[in-house]
Amino acid sequence: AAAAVASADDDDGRTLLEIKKSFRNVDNVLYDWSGDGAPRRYCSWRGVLCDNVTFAVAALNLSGLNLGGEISPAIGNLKGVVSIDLRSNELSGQIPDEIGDCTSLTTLDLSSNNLGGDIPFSISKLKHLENLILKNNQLVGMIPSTLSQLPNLKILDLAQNKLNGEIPRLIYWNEVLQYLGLRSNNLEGSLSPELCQLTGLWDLSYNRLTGEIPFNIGFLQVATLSLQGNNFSGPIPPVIGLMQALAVLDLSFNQLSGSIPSILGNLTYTEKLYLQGNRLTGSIPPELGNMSTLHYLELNDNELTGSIPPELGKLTDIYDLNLANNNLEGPIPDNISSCLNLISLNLSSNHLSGAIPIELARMKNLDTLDLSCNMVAGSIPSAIGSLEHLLRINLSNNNLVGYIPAEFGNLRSIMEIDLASNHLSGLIPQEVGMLQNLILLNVSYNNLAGIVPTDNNFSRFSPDSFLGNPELCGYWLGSSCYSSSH
Amino acid sequence: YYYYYYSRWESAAARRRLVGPGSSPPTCRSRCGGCHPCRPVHVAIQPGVAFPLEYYPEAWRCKCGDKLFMP
Repeated sequence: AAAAVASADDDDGRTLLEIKKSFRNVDNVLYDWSGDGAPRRYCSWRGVLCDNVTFAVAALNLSGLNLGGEISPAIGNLKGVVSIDLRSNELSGQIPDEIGDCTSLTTLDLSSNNLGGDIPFSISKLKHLENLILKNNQLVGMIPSTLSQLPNLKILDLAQNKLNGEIPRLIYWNEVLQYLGLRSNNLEGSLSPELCQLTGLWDLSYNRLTGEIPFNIGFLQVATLSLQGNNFSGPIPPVIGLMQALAVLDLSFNQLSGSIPSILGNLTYTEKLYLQGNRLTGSIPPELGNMSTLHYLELNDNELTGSIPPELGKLTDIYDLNLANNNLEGPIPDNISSCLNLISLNLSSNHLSGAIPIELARMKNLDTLDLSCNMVAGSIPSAIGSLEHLLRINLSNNNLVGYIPAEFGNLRSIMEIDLASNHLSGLIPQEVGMLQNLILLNVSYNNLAGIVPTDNNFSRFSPDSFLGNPELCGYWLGSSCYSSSH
Repeated sequence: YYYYYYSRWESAAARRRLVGPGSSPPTCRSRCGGCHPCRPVHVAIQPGVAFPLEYYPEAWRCKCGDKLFMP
């Protein structure tokens, strides 16, 4: 019997050399894989781990070695291998059917290669398999429904491939499955109500799934609901408002219609609410102001109407508020300034009117302020100049009047100032010319007058930045005063 | 290198399916092995290889000091 085992070991050494033959770019990394005949020498080869007793190959870890070429069908001869990790290489070709002969496998990680073709049905023979990670390849075809026959499968990660067809429903009934990663494929079909059988985490985002989000979604016990980037239609089921365990609710970039259910305000443990890029109508429910732990609220690119509820000012932990590209009207509520931790405020491309609330200057962490493409009137509050972390301010395409505040010179981090297409008058303050980090300046199409400052490299801004101000005198050819000043 | 997700919170919650829809964060009562205070927190789960520019699914864990426990 001992002799038989020894001969099996020698087979493993020969198998490894056979596997090496199918790889490319091996000279530098697998130079110690050579057949010099010494018994069990392969157990010390790079990436090879042998069983202590049988000396059969137990693990093959060749991750991140820049290996090219293909996976040899000879891999199926490694009957004792428990773990194969070839992730983060340049492997191409197909996953050999013979992988199904590695009957001891518990982990197969071939992620981040260029593997093509189908997922072999033979994988369903690997009854001990716990982790199947084929993420980030070029795999095509359907997900084999027979994967549901793997009784021990805990992690199935097929994300970032080109898989199509429907998600085999039997997979939902796998009670052991802890993670189902199908993000970024071409999967079709609708969400089965059976989905609620899944007890672990899953990610179906960025596929081509259609139909309505079923009521049964409300039975899921998950902290993350990632359905973004599909073609789901119909309303947001109000039952989602009962899923208080949700930390992340992402339904963005679908075709969802109807209004935002006010019951979503119940989600007081949710930190991220992404509903942008749908066809949502109606007004923003004031109840969203009750989502006391919310950090990100993105409702942009919908068809929302009504005014911005002042209750959003109760979101004192919010970092990012994006309501851009809707049909919102009315004033920008002063209460928004109670969101003292806000980093990015984007209200652009709506029908907002009234003045810029001076209170916005209280949000000292603000790095992006975009109120462009609205009907905001009045003058620019000079207090905006106290937002010392501001990187981008866009107030273009509004009805702003008055002067550009000299206090803009205090915006020492600022990189982009866009005030184009308003009714601003007066001079361009010298102080703006002192801003060292400014890369984009646009004051075109206003009523500015005087001379464009020429000091401090102000000339780095092209004439386009100043166009459409008939009274403004610039340093470029064709400017109203060019001939008289030269 | 692999995270394991299964928890008593999830399986107990699965049984609640018989009652009705909806979910709650775990209570974390005596889930931190004698360590106090034991509070529920969100953690990002990174299955397999990490890719930047995408957020990871988040899950609930119980936290005491800087140690995490299954709910």
